Amino acid sequence: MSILDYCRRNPCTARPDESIREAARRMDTRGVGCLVVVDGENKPVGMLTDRDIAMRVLRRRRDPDATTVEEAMERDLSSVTVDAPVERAVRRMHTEGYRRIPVVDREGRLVGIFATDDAIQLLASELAGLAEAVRSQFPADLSAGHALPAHGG
Amino acid sequence: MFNLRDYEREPVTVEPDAPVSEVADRMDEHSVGSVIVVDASGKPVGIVTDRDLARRVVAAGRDPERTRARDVMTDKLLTVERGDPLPRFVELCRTHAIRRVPIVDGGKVVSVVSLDDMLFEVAVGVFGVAEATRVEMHPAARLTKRRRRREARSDAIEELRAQLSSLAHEVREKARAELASLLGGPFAR
Repeated sequence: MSILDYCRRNPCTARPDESIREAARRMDTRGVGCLVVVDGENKPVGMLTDRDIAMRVLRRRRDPDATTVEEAMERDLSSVTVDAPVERAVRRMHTEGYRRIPVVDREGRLVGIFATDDAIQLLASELAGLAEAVRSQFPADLSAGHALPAHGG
Repeated sequence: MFNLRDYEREPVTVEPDAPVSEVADRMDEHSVGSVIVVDASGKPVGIVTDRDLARRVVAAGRDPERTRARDVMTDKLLTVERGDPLPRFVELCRTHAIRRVPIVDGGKVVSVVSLDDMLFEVAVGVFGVAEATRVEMHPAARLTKRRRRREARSDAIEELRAQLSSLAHEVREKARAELASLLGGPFAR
């Protein structure tokens, strides 16, 4: 179960030296809440969310035209490579407290983004399959009140 | 696991005339992503999220000191009544693509429920099941390579589950304490 199969490809990006106003406009027109900040080689250097804009720019009374993406973005974010298992991405997001994590190729270039929402959907479909499997193992006459074998047969 | 009441959080409210810079202050001070806009009689008239601030203020080039909460709020406020079943909440989130819904009682907002809090609890539940399964697995029979690998994985899941569950506990207790001090009675368990 590789992360590449479940992440969203070609996420919206921003450059570190862009103004917050430009970044906010891009979020607005593209209908996203998050931009991956990449350098000239398309390698992630940070992440900027709509909440960062609200809390680190508007809340602090900074001028969105004079503030750069680099000044408001979240740095030091980790990423996972395309061949990483989903579990690793989920654990990383949990320990670091992020809802999204960039997915990069072996050279470190941005390929996609994986979000907790994607994890939930994946989990739901796996659980549905699992529930189906469990259900198929119940004896057919369970509803008639017959006892189950002690260890499921 | 699925009782709407278990996910209620104290609402953060602002007046319709509050400047959006103050709305951002309230969000930050209370560590929330949305505030409910209530009129002088306490009636909810809208909701402002952090996303609205980024889009409807910053992207739109408005002045945060001169823009009011009512200028950027979503005024078709979708709410659930206290006592409504959980599927009603889930249905609202699903059909309107929203994540936070105020709960009203007698026309006033008494709390806010977040889809994210709920999903978090679901994740904790799933990992709890994983742990219960691990404990039940018969220990002596097969010490195969496959089993050892599975155990290593279970250890990782267990670690994550413990972290998630202590965090969930903290969040729940805090919310309950806040609600108890605010409302008394049913939340003080």
